[in-house]
Amino acid sequence: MLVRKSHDTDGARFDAPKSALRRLGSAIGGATLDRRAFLKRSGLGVGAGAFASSLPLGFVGTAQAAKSEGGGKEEVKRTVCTHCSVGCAIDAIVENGVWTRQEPVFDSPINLGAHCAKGAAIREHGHGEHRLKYPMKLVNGKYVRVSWEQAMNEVGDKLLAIRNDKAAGPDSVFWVGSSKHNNEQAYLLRKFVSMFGSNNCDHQARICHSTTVAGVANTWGYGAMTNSYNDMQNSKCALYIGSNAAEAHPVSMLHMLHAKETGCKMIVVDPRYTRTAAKADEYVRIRSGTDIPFLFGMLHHIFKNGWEDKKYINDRVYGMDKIKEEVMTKWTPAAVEEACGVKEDQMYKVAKMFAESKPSTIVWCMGQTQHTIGNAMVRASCILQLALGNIGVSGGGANIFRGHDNVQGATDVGPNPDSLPGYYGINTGAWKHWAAVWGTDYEWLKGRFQSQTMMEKPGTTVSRWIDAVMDDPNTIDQETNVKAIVFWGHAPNSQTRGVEMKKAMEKVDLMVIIDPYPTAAAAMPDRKEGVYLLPACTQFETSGSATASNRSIQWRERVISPLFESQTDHAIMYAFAKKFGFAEQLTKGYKFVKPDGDRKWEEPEVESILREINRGTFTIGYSGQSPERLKLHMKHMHTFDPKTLKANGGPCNGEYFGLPWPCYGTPEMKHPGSPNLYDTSKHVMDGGGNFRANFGVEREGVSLLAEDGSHSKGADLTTGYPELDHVLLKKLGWWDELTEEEKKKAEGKNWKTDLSGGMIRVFMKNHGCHPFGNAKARAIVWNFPDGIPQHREPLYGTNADLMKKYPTHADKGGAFWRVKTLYKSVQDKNLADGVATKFPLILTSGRLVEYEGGGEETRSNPWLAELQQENFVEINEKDANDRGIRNNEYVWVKSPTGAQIKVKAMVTPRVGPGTTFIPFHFSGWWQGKDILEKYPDGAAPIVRAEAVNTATTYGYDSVTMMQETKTTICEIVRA
Amino acid sequence: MARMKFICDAERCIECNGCVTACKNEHDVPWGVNRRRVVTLNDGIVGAERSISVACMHCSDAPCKAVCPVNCFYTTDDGVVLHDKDLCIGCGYCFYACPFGAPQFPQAGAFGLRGKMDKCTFCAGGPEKDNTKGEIEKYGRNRLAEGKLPACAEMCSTKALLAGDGDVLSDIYRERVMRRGRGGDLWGHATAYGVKAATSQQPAPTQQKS
Amino acid sequence: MLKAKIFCAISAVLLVSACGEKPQTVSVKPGQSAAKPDDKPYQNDQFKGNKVEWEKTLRARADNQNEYKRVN
Repeated sequence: MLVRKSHDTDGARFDAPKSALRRLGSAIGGATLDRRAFLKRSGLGVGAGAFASSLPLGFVGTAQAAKSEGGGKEEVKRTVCTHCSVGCAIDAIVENGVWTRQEPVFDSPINLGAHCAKGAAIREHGHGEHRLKYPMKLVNGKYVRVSWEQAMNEVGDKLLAIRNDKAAGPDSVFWVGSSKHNNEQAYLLRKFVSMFGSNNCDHQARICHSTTVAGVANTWGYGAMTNSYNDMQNSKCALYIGSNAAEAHPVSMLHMLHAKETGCKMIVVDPRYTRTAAKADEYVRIRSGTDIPFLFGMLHHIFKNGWEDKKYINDRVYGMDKIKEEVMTKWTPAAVEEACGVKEDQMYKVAKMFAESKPSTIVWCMGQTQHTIGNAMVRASCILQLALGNIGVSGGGANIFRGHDNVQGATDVGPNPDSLPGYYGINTGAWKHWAAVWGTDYEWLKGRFQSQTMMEKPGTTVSRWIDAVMDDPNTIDQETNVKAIVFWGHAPNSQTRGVEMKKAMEKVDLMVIIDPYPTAAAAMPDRKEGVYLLPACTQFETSGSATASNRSIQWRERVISPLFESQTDHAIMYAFAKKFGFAEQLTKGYKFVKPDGDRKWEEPEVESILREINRGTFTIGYSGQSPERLKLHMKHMHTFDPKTLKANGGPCNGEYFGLPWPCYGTPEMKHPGSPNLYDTSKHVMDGGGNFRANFGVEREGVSLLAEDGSHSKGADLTTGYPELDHVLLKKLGWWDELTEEEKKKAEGKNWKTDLSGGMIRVFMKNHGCHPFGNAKARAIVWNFPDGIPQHREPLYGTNADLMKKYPTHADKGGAFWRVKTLYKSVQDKNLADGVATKFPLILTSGRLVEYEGGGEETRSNPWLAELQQENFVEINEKDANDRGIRNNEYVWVKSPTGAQIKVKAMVTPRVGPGTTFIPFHFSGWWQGKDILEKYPDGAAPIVRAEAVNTATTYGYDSVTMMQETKTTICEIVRA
Repeated sequence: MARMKFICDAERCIECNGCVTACKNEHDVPWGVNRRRVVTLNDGIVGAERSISVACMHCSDAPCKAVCPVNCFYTTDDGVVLHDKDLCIGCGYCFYACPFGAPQFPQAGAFGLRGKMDKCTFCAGGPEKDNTKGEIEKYGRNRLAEGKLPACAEMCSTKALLAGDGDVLSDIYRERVMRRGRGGDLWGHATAYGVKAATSQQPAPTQQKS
Repeated sequence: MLKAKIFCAISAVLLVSACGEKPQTVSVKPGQSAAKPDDKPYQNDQFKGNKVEWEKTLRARADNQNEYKRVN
């Protein structure tokens, strides 16, 4: 029987698998040169012998000759894994500029030395055997090497031509940034696109947690994980719903399994019996996409039995009465069982366990976010926690595990189409604030855009760029279609609707891929020309900060210099800015460095960029984390407690590890960071807080501010209060506590725009009050399509009756992220066509522990690639037998789009009858065919397989344009 | 010092394969050779799935050593079972004898020159001068000689896999068992002690038919 | 230069065929290892033969596997 891992390497004990032979073959070909060049540069060899081991025997002598024993200078560089948002520290051993070993960092309070398969294999980044090694250009259907100069000139000229074309303009270029950029690069890219004159930029957060960020921020203030992985050690019950942490965030399980040993209960709710579920005290199988019926089904029992926290609800929550009404009438045990398939006794058991073992925490990931109703699902989770009084409590919280290593940071300060760094938005005031921080003239900035209207209109999203290319220009809310796409650290195979994406890639005038790897984007389209590949380096070849899921910011030291001809992302941004003529504005006030002398380009100093972020990002408290403070934390990791994240003594005494944002005010104010958000049991200068006043002070005559007596510890204001601005400070009589200098800057400003940071200092330090006010969380988010979260069936479903009972939204016009978005018309058509009978299986997708994201990077790492050599579909025995499918056979997974993908069948009880699962990290096959020849020579990933998203369907969240990946449909037949 | 041992805590192992890649990384083990692997039993079966990381167990009375026709194995003072690749004839008899499938037979390269056996060394190298080119090429790194423990265990994502002096590991494991406040219902207990697991304590997750 | 290389190669061949040749049989004594003698892991520059020091180092290192040492 085929089990999860491709451990059919049993045969490989005697016979190397095919891919190993392929690899040896490539070693004999061109790739050997790089390996050998690499060996020579290392000049030593610890490790060199081992490289020899993968060379044909004839090369062994040569490789050994390159070694000079023991003569190297050994350095230890402290960095952080780039494969997920846990933020595991790594000590890299570098000898003569070559990364020769990695050692666990036991001192790290976050991972205590622990790593998953990806983190333990991170040193492969020092080899980069399958990297994109030099700039390339598609010529007559084949990638050929070009110089950086030629590439920059040609790409720059083409982008400028589109920008300056009256019929196209700056909005005709779409920039996809990266959650794998560090904070400084992500921030610089947003600034760069702004100066290019557009809001058409986005990154992976859109398809990761955009629904969370919007839903959670609109509920209580900030769009982020409220507590931390570490804090889960304080939980007494943890409910994982839509998270497979054991595979997606393996090191987080260190804290969870520790907590289990000290009495925490663990509940896992998922359509699949995941590796995480295997560790649970209680596993609940739900029908894919029915999180709201499940969560409200729990709430039904909670309200019925009076398990809710009435005082907390009274003091700190708005609108819970309406929720209770809805839940009690609509989500009866029978309705819940009908919708999600869970029986009343199990619902009761789970609700009781979760309500009575407090503090209890909830964990969710893409299983909740990636739905057409993702924004509502995440709010249902928030409401559950608010009802139980679990938010703002250590051991409680909404532990929302982010995906990429810096997806939180890139969301906070990076390339978002609807906001400037720090969630300032894109209205006139926001632009003026950032223009002031950048030292640029607002009018000049405005002149870069087609108009002020376009300047203040959210751009399109990474999930929808294909429609911005393909749709009738009359239905698009900008001058004309997108005509050029720049993938700056992005895997397109992680987006849905692969077949249409391929067409969009073929239609644009220009594709530019800036990445350490060619990515699926290089190989997908059938084009003859108009594609450029520019080699960027990884985060191990530069320095900078990254924000882990728990909002802790860690500083990475540079491990090695950029491999091959690659450049750092910020060096490439600077070079393009020079070409476009705004380099001076982009880098005003920055220092410049050349860490590799003349071998690499001059680049803006990373620390300078972080200091600029500090100067402007008051909203979410990215203002206190100066490079010096972050570096000090990295050096003294051992002084931080792994349970509280607080340093007890030492140079960081009283601070929380990585100064988790919000770390308010200036670095000099010494805010310690906020380990758990909205925690009223702590003083604001010890990381305490309360819910944010961001939605007005009253609604329909009901106050939205916190009740009297509910406030952060030690606050001078003991009632609810609005956010801080100059008027409030004056009214309170605290204005004169500002210095004269501060008064000048603060006049007419609020806490977010006062660049002196003085108002925050006075309010927090002198009076213990929270600058964003003290309000109630909103159980009803009235500005969303469904103020009270409503269950709605997906556009593509297998149950026609429920689709009629819980129909989707009405279609939306073009003002919504610049493209029209369909709901009801698609669902109705599917119902009319009887699609569900032709495609009777639910198709869902998710992660494998060995790979990350689109997977090019990890599938290029032999230590990881060996463990998962093929893509597969999990199918229940019943469904397999009904279709004559046997384990380990190839099957065709057929999509209603007409696409079909060829993967191995894994017959397993992990999925129930009617549900199938395919991991999403693969690419390099297209509808049954290996497209190796379409990659640049020597830069294809070791493992190539079918991308699940070639077969996924249409469907987007009604607030954020999150793609629906978790519930679609398919039929499976023998290949 | 007692003997060096591995122990894998099945209540903690999440089959992340960190131990596998840590080993590959530290010793540059070539493709197709797995000194360590993670085995999952009852894969996907609700309530019964368990994973465990397996490599050479460094047996006190090692069957590989007993059957080796050229006597290339030796046990160090610390209980680590090592072998001399210069003597090994690659016959595979140890592979028959080993209850864990630990011996590996590389096809090519320095690790497997002429198909000699390769296996987990407990990061203790082999009979060459410690951490010299000769030792690293044939056996991988010698972490024990650097005062470090095997990379697989040191990097384990959940600290499920433990390595070191058996006595010290007992202490670590015992503390966990005490914290859990249970033991008899844990996986493997019945096999080890021949008694039926106290199933009443085990919250058997229920499988929903959908 | 070339001549020197050829000379080396020839002498290498001679070496192998003559005095470098190893006995082709292995004398197997039951219960006794035929492996080369191995240094103790503390017989090196780091530990300078100090077994106690080495054991202490490993003992301390092992504690890193027990997170209860840092958190309860």
